[in-house]
Amino acid sequence: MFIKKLLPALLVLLVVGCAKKDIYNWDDYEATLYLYHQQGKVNVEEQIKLLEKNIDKSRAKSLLSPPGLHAHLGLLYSNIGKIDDAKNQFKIEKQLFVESATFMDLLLNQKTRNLK
Amino acid sequence: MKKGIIFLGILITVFLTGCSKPCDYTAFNESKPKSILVLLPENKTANIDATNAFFSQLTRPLSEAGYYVFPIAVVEETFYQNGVTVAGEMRNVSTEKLRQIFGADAVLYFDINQYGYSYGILSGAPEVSASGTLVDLRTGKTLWNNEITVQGDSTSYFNVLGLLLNRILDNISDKYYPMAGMANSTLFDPASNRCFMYGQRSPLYKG
Repeated sequence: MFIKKLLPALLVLLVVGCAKKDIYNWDDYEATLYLYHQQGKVNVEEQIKLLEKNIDKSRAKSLLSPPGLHAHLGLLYSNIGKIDDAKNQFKIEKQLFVESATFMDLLLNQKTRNLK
Repeated sequence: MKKGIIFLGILITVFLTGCSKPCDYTAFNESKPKSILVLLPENKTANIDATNAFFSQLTRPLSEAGYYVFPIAVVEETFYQNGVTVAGEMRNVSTEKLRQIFGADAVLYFDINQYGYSYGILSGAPEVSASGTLVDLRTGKTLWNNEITVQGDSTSYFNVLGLLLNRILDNISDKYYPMAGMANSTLFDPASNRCFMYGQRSPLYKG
């Protein structure tokens, strides 16, 4: 059947397509973005651990953390009252991605009670 | 083999729905946005899971295409604190205001048009469908818009993407989640035929 002959060829195409190397280390970051909106399924501390693990691995293997990861971690810290840690993450985000400067400055300059 | 054939069907569907019009990169090329603000998608389906599945999986393909993508939850929280809580209201915020608050070069408006089972003439199939529009926040010009439909056996996406190996994803019970991910990564892959362009953080960017 022709489909059986075509399949390996297409799979090869697929594999070649997937071989493109990612710019960033995504480990669990996408999942934490999902979990953030699944209220109560995985608690904030556990979400924080996932992101800290991502950062540790990125550092150890000289990989880049994705855009937004540090800012998102900052949001999670602020949710459990760790305001200094939160601000530190916003600063790191700004340092890594200059495009975020306006927004990070806004977050850094707002009164802490405005952060949930 | 059966899974392979199912997957083949999915691939062909994705390819066929994307072969229609030639790309016009003019506006995109003039704008050269470096950063993209992703707003909460407008969910036009009755399935409340659709928003999160699409929203949480937009950051990766856009980042990998070479753009700075604003942290979606932090952006959302900022809207909430200013009393803006639904997708429609966020969309009504002017481009000038968005530029002023976030300093983004472009904004992505995203619509979810189908999420779940769709009954066709010949047979029914799980289907997700979405469309996006990228607008320059400095000029208000539309830089890009396109749409995507992904059909197929949703369980095969879990296998193909290796998602089942990831323990944290056990918490994601929504079976259409991987299809939403596949839709997004096709729609915003500049190497697919959706006319999206590489951004400046991509090694494939052509200035």
